[in-house]
Amino acid sequence: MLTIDPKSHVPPFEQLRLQLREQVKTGELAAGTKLPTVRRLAEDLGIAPNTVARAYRELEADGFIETHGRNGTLVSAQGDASEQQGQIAARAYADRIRTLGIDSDVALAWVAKALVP
Amino acid sequence: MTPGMWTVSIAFTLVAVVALALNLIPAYRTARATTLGKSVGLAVPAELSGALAARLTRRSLITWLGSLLGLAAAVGAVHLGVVTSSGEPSNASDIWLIAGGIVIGIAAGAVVNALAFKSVIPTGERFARSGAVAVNDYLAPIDLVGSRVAVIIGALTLLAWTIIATGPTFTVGTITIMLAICSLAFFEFATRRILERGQPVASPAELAWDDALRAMSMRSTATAPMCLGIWGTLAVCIDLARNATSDAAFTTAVAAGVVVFVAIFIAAAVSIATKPQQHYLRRLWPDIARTPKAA
Repeated sequence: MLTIDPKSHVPPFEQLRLQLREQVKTGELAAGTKLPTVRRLAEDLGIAPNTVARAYRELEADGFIETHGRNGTLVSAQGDASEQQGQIAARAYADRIRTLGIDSDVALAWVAKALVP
Repeated sequence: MTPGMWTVSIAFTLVAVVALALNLIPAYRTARATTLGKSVGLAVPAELSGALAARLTRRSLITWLGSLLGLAAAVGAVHLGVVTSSGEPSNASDIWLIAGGIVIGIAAGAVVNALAFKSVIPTGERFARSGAVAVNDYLAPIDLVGSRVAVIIGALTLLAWTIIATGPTFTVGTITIMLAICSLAFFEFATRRILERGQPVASPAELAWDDALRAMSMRSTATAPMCLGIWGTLAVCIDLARNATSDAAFTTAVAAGVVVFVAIFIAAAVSIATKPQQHYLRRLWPDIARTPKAA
């Protein structure tokens, strides 16, 4: 969830950038997650599209997100190459589990069991 | 139109008028929000109850009016002889078109209500979801895939009628399938338009409720192609059986109708078991889905 406080002394673009960066770093926004379009997020938060675009640009420059033209803006995988591959595989697994309507606790238990050597 | 069809139409009109009149009772409006909350898995926070009751009242008024307009259009088409039934007893299948007019009216009303709603940007803190959403976050496979499959089956039945039938091309059954195809195109367009709309909210609970109302609007829109596709297929199967020139053709038409009928019951059982009205909750609010009514 993203929050914008219009009364805060921190500019809205910075509030947005910091929250998105934190969510990517903590894994709340997993690698490969699609972000809302600039226009849509601006409308949701009641801020100017340029503000969202600026936050996205800076996050992209820092390697947290990547823009794929018509496919939208996606969260980049973080860490070294093997960690990035792991995050992408985790995203694919999570998407499949959601599509199948399987409870996330059950899915996590399967992963834990599968990881036991 | 037969007296039976007039009775059905008048009875539905009376139900709609009563439903519209109920919106004038404040206690009913509050109770409806609570009942709906149980259905969609959300509690009604005190700070949202007034705005929510108003949104539900508006939705109720527009969808019931839509259903009445749809009914009027269908009755007009049948009464003026724009469409004709095939075989005997004639006019018995008019019910498909009348029911079709009602579900199309409800779908159109739900879309008009969702697209015309002017959300106000909160003056204080604003909340938004970090990830993008898609239509399949709001519609369960039974609704999303079911509506498309029902129309495809209807289109194939229509093709079979066009190729092998000796009766008229434009019957209630074939027109119902044509309406199903049009309503599927409308559904695909309307759900994306609803999805594109912003959701400025002042709390996560408000966003959850907005998601619930979006899901309801999309489900109402999906109902039209699904119902029309199934009804049209059944009506054409009945017409094919009536006009069959051989035992094999008769058996095939009856078997196809029975298969569709059984599929309806299976789909209904799956729908009841999987609670598609809470699909959005499982996809977008998994924490609330695990502990319903905690929003």
